[in-house]
Amino acid sequence: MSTLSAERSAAAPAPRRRAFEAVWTDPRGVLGYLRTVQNIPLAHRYMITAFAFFLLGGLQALVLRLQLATSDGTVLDAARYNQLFTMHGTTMMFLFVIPFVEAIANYLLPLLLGTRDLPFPRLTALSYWTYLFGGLFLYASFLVGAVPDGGWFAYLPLTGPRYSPGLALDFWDIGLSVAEVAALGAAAELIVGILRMRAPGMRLDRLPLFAWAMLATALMIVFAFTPLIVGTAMLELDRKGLTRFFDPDAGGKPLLWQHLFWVFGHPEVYIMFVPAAGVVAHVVQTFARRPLVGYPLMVLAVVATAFLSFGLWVHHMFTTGLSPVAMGFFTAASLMIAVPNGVQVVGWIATLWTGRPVWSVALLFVAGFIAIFTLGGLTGVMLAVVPFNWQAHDSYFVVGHFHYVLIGGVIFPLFGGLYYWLPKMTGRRLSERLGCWNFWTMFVFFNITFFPMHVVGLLGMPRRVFTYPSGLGWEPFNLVTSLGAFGFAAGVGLFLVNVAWSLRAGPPAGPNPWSGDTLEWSETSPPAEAQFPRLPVVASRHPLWEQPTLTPVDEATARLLAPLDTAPTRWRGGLVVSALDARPLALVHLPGPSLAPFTLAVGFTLLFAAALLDSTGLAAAGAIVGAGALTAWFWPQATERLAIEEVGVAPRQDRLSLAIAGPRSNGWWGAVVLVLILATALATLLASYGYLAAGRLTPRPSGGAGAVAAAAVLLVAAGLTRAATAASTRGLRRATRHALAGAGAAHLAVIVMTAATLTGSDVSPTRDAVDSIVFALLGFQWVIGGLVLVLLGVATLWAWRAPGDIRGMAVALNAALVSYFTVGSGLVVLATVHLGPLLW
Amino acid sequence: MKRDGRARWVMAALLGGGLAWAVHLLASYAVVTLGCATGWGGTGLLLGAITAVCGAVAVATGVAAHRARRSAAAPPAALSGPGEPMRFALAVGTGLAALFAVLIALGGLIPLLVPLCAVSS
Repeated sequence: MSTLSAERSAAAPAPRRRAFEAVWTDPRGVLGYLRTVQNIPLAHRYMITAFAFFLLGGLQALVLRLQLATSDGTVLDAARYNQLFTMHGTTMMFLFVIPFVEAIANYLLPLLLGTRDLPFPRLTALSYWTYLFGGLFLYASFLVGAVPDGGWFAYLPLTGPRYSPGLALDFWDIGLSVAEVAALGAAAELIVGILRMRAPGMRLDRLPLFAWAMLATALMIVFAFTPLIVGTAMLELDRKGLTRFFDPDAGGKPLLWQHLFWVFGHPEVYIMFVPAAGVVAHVVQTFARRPLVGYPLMVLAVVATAFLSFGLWVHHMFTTGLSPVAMGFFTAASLMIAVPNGVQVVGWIATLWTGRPVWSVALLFVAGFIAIFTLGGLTGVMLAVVPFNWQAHDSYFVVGHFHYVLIGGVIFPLFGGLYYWLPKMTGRRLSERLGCWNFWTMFVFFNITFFPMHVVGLLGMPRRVFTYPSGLGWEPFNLVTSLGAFGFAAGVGLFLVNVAWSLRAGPPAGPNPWSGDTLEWSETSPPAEAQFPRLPVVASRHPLWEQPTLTPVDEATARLLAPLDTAPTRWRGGLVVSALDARPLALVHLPGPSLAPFTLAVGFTLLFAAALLDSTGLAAAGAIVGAGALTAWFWPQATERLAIEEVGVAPRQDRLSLAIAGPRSNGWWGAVVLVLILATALATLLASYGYLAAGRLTPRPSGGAGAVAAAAVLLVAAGLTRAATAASTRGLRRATRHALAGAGAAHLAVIVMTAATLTGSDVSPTRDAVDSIVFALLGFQWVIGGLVLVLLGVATLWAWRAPGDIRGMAVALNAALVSYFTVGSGLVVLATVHLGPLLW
Repeated sequence: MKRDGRARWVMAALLGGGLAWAVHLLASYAVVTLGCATGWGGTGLLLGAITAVCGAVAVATGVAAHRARRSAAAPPAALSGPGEPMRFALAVGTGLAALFAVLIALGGLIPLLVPLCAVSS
C-alpha cells in the first residue's frame, strides 16, 4: 500500500516541493503557536486538552465513589458532593467527549477525505481557543469557592436566583456558553468540509462511514446545541433578575427549562455515540479484512439515528405529569431508535463473522463496546417503557444505564480508535501486550463498577444522594462499585503508560501499519504539515484496497487537477467538489496563520466574564478586543489577492477557477449554516413563547400600526437586498453600493421601529414570563438585525472602496442570505408578538 | 436531469420521511397538550388528520424515491459517472421513508389505545 504514497509524493521537482511545504508550515515560537490555524496541530491541542479534562472528571468520580463506598460516608459533605457530581457530569459531557470527538474529526477528516485542510482553518482555531477558555472559566469557579452545584442538567427552580444565589451557577451557565460557541463553530466547519472538500471521485456512496457519522453529528450539534444556548441565556437573564421565564410567581414555567435542556440533552447522547459508531466501522472493517457488510444500511442507520434522537427528549420527563398519549408518542420513538442501532450492531457482527478478524487491541475495544453498548441499549429500551420508567426514575438504575451507554458506547470505541489511529498520529506503534492488559482491566472493572448500580437502583437507592444509612442492603453493591471504579482508573492509567512508552520507544508505524483501506493510510505517519501534495483521486469505497493508483486515470481529470500538483506555492490552496458526486468544481484559497482567532476568543471570554461580574469595564474591553479581532479577521488578505491573480475567478470549461463568491464558495455555505443556527434559535424562542403564553391572557405590545409599518420596511429591506445582489452580479457598481446601503438603512429603521413599539406599552420583562419571552423575541430580532447591519456595512464598504472586487461580491452575497433570513424572522416575530395573543 | 434538480431530489429523499415524522411528533404533542388543557372536543380528530397527512408524505417520499431509483440508469463506475450516488441516496431515502412511515403509524395508533386526556401521575 505504501507504494501509492511514494508514487504520489515523488513527482514534483524539489524546489517546488520545498516551496509548497514552506507555504503550509506554520510559524514557530510563542506567537506562532497562537497563530496556528492548521488542523493537525490544533487537533493535537484539542485532544490533549480534552483528555486532561477527562482525567479531571475521572478524579472527581473517584472522590465521589470514595464517599459512597460505605454507608454514612464522611469523605465529603453534602455541599462538596453536589459540587463534585455537577462538575463530573459537566466535564465529561461538555469538556471531554464532544471536544474529543471534534478533535479526532479535525485531525482525521482532511486525511480521510483526501483534502489538505478543512474549509475554515481560522474557525477551527477559534473553536479551540473558546473551548479552552470556556473550560478554564468553568474551573475558575474552584478558585473563588463558587463551584456549580446544580447538577449537569441544572434543573429549575433549584438553579434559579432564589435557591442558588451567588456566582456558582453563573459560572456553569456562562462557562458552558463559551464552550457551546466552540462546538457550533466546529460543526459548521465539519458540515462544509465534508460536503465540499473531498478527493475527486469520493462520491456520497463512497464516503467513509466516519465522515457520514460526523456529517450527521455536526448537523445534530447545530440543531441541539442552539436550543441549549438559548436556554442557558434565558436562565442567566432570569438569574440576573432581568426576566422571569422560569419563575412560577410571574407565570413562568420551570418545566420549560427541562424541555429546552433535554431537547439538547438527549440528542447529545447520540452526538457522542454516532461518531463513536463511525470509528467502530473503520476498526471493524480493517481488522475483519473485508468491506463492511451493508454499507447503505449503515448510512441509513446513521441518518435515522440523527433524526430519531430529536424525538426522545420527553422520556426524561415521564414523571412530570404529562398525558399518557403524549408519553406514548415518545415511547414509540424511544423504542424505534433501537432499530437503526440494532442494524449497526448486526452489520458489525456480520462483518466480523464473514471476515478474517485480526484480534488487535483496537478490535478488542470494539468487541467490548458491542457487548457493553448492547446491554446499555437494552436497559434503555426498558426505561423507554413508561411504567418501568416511573419505578426506576432517578434511581441508580438510570446511572448504571447511562454509564453503560456512554462509557460502553463512546469511551470504549474512542479508545479503540486511539489504538487504531495513534500510530498514524505519532508515527509509532503502541504495545499490543500492554494494550491487552489495558483493555481487559478496563472491561472487567467497568462491569464491576457499573453493573451493581442497576441492582442497587432496583433496591431503591436514589441517585444524587451524598450518603445513605446502613441496613438497607446497599452497602455491598456500593463497595464493589467503588472498588471497581479504582480498577477502571488503573486501566486508564495503563493506557497512559502505553502512550508514554510508545512515544519514547515504540517501533515505527510506517504509513499503513494495519493495511487499512482509507486515504489517511496513504500519507506518512505522522502526516506532514503539507498534506496531499498531489490530491488523490478516488474510484472506490476502499481506495487503498481496490485501486491500483490514486493518480487520475483520465486525461481530463489530470488536466483539471494539474494546478494543485504540489501547488500553489505562494498561498494555501485546496479543491472544492460537488456535494453529491465529488466533481472538481473550483480551487479555494485557505487562510494562513493568524492571531485573529486567539484574540477573538479572548474578546469573547472578556465579554462573558463581564456578564458574570456585571462589569462594564470588562465588557468594554471585551468589545474593543473582539471588534479589533473581527476587523483583522475580515481584513483583505494579501494571499487571497495573489490567488485571484494567479488562478482567476471566471468559471472556464477547461480549467478550474478560484471560488470566492456565491454557492461555489465555502463562505456562502458557511453563511447557510449560520442561517440554520439562527433559524433553530428562532424556533426555540417561538416554541418557548407558545409554551409560556398558551392558555394565558397575554398583553399585546401597543403600536399595531407601528408593527405593520415595520413589516413593510422589512419587505423593503428584502427588495433592496435582492436589488443589491442583482446589481452586483451584473457589475452595476453604483447601484450595488446604493442598494446595499439602502438595505442596511431599512434594517436599522426596523430595529428603531420595533424598539419604539415597546416604548409606551406595558410589556415588562421583569414582571411577567410572557412579557419576558416577547422581549426575548424582539431582542433576538435586534441582535440579528445588528449582525446584518455589520455585514451589509462591510459589503457597502467593499462596494465603495473596491467596486467590482469579487471579494466584495462574496461579502454582499453572504450578507444577502442573512438579510433575507432577518426579514423572514422579523415578519414571524412581529406576527407572533402582535397576533399571537389573539389565539389564546 | 439537471445537476441542481438531482441535488433537490436527493435532499427530498433523504429528509422527506424524517421531516414528516418530526412534524407529526411535534404537532401531535402540541395538539394533545393544548387540546387537553382547554378541553377542546376535536383533539382526537385533529390527531388523526395529522397522522394521515404526515403518513401520506412519508409514504409518498418513499414511493417517489423508489421509483426514481428504478428509473435512474446504473452508470459506469468512472469518476464522472452521474447516476450511482443518486441511486444510492434514493435507496437510503426509500428505507428512511419506510422506517418513518411505520413510526408515524405507530404514533397514530396511540390515541386509539390510550385515554386521550387522562392524568398520568
